[in-house]
Amino acid sequence: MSNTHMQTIDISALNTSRIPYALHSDSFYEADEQRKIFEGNTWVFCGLEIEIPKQGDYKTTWIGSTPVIVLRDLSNNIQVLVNRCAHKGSLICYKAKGTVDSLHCPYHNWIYDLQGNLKKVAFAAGVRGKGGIPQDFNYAEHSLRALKVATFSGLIFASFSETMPDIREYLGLGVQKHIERTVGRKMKILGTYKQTMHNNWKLYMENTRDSYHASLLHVFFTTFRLNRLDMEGGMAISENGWNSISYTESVDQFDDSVYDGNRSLKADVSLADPSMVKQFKEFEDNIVSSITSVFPNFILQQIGNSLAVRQLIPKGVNESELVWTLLGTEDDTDEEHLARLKQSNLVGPAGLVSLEDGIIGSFIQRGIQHPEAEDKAVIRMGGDEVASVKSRVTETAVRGFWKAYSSCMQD
Amino acid sequence: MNLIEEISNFLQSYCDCIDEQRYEEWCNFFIDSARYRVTTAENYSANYPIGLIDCMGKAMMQDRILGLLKANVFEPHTYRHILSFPIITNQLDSKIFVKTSFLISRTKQGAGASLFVSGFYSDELVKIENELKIANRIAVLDSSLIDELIVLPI
Repeated sequence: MSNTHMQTIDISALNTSRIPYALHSDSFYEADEQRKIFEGNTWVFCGLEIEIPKQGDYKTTWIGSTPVIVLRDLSNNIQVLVNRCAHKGSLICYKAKGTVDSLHCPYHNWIYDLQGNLKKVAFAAGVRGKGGIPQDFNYAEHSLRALKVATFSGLIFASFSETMPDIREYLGLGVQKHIERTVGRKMKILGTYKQTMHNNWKLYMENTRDSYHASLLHVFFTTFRLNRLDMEGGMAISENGWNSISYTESVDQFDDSVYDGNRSLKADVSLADPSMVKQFKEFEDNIVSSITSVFPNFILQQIGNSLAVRQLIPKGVNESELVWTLLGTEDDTDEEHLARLKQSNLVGPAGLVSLEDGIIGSFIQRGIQHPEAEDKAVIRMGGDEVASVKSRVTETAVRGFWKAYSSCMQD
Repeated sequence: MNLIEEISNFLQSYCDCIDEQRYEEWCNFFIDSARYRVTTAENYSANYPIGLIDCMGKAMMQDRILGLLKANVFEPHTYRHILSFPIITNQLDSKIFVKTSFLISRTKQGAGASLFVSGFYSDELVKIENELKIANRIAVLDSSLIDELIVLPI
């Protein structure tokens, strides 16, 4: 077997229609991805403002493989701090969430304020004049790394880069408007869960942009006519190609005859309780389902009235973790609330139309171990361009992902 | 048989039904209007209404089994449920409230068995024509992190 990475893939010449399998299976690229993508010129999604509603509230999460604390400081500003004590590198916050007025490292009780400034070193003056921190120790040089933070429609993004464009510009106008339309309201959390997928993180991000697979892999959708490729829909791609919205439209979605008898493509299959897929009209447009995918790790889901944000966290070359937060609005009527509960059966690790996503990446991961350099995926549906198109039989947004990847990895 | 033995046998037969892959029969452990939910301890304690599964009535349970048998794509696997002794937490008229802990190991074809989930059932049982049935079941999983997917009933 050849050692693939010794034949070095030229990322600058990456053909976005032919992606080498090695990019998913070879750990050679992992450190570079952390440095150039997750800690590079990107806005990385790390949570929702409503997860930390009060001053002092924090949650812990990951930006790639770097642990971070997402918190609301005492001035009500959102901070994203690297969760790594400046002393020995220990995690400072080791719980999933909590409320604090300062940050204490559990190891030697070094104390930071909520902007990450080091305020106190335990026994700095020593004991009885002996020991302690040297005179030349400069507290200001030992703060926690504070990331750039951007909030948009209640979403929190962070960046290690000091030179990031405004989050709106980063998202692109169409994606920005679509996010605003979907969650730019008074939202509330209806539930959360996490999912381990045994595949490289990029395979999942590709999947969220792959409108071609939706009705082919997720047969539940097709069977019950929730999403078929003959419905109106398309891909909207951001100006730079990095971000995308896959959407399905229905002009007569709320005509109940669409569900008459729920006869499926398999003649013997019909839903015993069609109320599970019964949608209420929530938006002014006719989009009944949409998946928004923002480079590198954010997904906004609207499957009917099931709204959720998903945050992807790489866990080594062969594994990733998907954090789901299901949403409703503060203004939901009882009926709308009930509809969201029922439709929640369609999504998540146990979702009737989405559970396959938990395994499909792992089928690829198992299929592509130790590839030769010339072993490549074919990503040519809809041509070779990265552009908006009024069709979902296309992989244009997957190519957009690789355009972003290639751009970052050359930095 | 006393009541607790009867409940214990009933809960064990529910597990056997799943572990022996008789999925079409699973719905029969419930009354028609039953609610069956799977959620996580995190959602349960935060009072978040959405968990992993929420079947409102037997028809929705049947749809889930239909999905499992006819539509969903997944690697063939089986469960083995291990139950604790059931504890009757309350009795109100004909309703019996029961709490039981469980461990479920998952075995994929060609792979070893591994612990899939642990948690507890909080059940409301009723007796109809001298037969126990589930009127309400919440399976609360200890962990919020699910490995790959859940397609078989818990």
